[in-house]
Formats: sequence, structure tokens, C-alpha cells
Amino acid sequence: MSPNNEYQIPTQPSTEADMPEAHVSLHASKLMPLEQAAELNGARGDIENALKQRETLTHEERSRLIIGQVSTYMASVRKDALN
Amino acid sequence: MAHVFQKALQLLVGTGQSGIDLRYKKSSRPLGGLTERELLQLESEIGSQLFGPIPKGHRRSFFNLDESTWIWHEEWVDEKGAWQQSTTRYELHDKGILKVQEGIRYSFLEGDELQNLTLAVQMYYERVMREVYHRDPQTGHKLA
Repeated sequence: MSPNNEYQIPTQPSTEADMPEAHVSLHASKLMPLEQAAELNGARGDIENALKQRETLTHEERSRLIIGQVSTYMASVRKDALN
Repeated sequence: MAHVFQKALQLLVGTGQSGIDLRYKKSSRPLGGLTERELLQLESEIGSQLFGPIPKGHRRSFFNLDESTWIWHEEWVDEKGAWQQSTTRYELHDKGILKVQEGIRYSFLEGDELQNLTLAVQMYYERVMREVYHRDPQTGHKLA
């Protein structure tokens, strides 16, 4: 993922890998960025599915998701900086 | 496991042959020409501050090594004057975050420890994006 990319909304969010990118879910507690992203991308239905799915996550699953997405994103940003 | 620890430490402290002063690069060329090791050092400077004051005589590192690994490394001299060090690796697995320390049984994080790591990772992201990569943490766009 490039840091310059806009929010990327999955068409069928069904697994962790399909969830929106790090800078979206990192602020999941606020929910606003995710909703704004949905509006921007015209993907209201898809994002609502993602939000419903997120609400069902356990504390451990949610932490795993956040740390995983931050890790992926940080590695990507670092790689960009090296190139 | 030793290989990953070794790689992480080598990236951080190097081989002792390259005495690069990052202060010059910080001020003159924000990121241009920095190596992965140097970027990790900058990230770790911030990471080391996320868990409160560092005890006198201790040296702490905390950083994201790659897509699936976070490293906590601490060095200190004990009351007998002996050098001590401890390295903890946090690995991302499908089942959760595995805490790996040499000589200690591996375990998946849970409870307060998992919560603390999650908060630290979020703070790391916020600060490293702004202070090292000069990017807005929310959009990923470069800061003016």
C-alpha cells in the first residue's frame, strides 16, 4: 500500500485481510474516518458491513487487527522512504 | 529465533564500524539517503519514549522491525556492575500476538499487556509518521 493512496474500501469485507487499511482502522474508535471514507468512495453498504464485523471482534482480535495493520503500514512507509 | 534477534540488533546498533551522526541528516536532509538501519534508529528513539521514563543506566529500544514483528530491547548494568540485556519479540500470528523471549515460554498476549502494546503501537504510529516520515497519520499524505 502506498501512503499516498486514498482509503481503499473492500467490496466484500469478510476477513481481516479485507478490512480497510491501517490509517482507517487505527482510528476505528472514532469511526468518523471510516464513515467519511465510505462517503468519499460511495461504498456506504460495504463499510457498514465492515463496521458490523468490527463490532463483533473480541478485545484480542481487535488488538491483533490494529497491530497487524499498523505493522504493515509502517513497513510500507519505511520502504517508500528508502526508495 | 536468534537470527531475527541478531538482525534486529544489528540494524539498531550496527557492527560498530559506522559512526553516523543522525543529527546532521535530520537537519539537512530529512530522509534522503538514510539506510533502513538509520530509519529504525530514528523510529526507535521515539519508541523508547512511549513506556515512560527510562531508568538511569538503561538503554531501551522499541520499534517495528517488519510487517509481522515488533522488538523491545533493553540493556543495563546491574548492581554488581555486570552488563545485562533483554530482548522481546512480538510476533503477529493469525491467533494473536506471540511474545517471544529467549529462555522463557512463549505466550500469546492478553489482558493489560495486550492493551498496553496496542496503545504503544498506536502512539508509535502517530508520532513516527509525524516526526520521522513527516506524514499525516490519518491520511498518509505528506505534511506541509
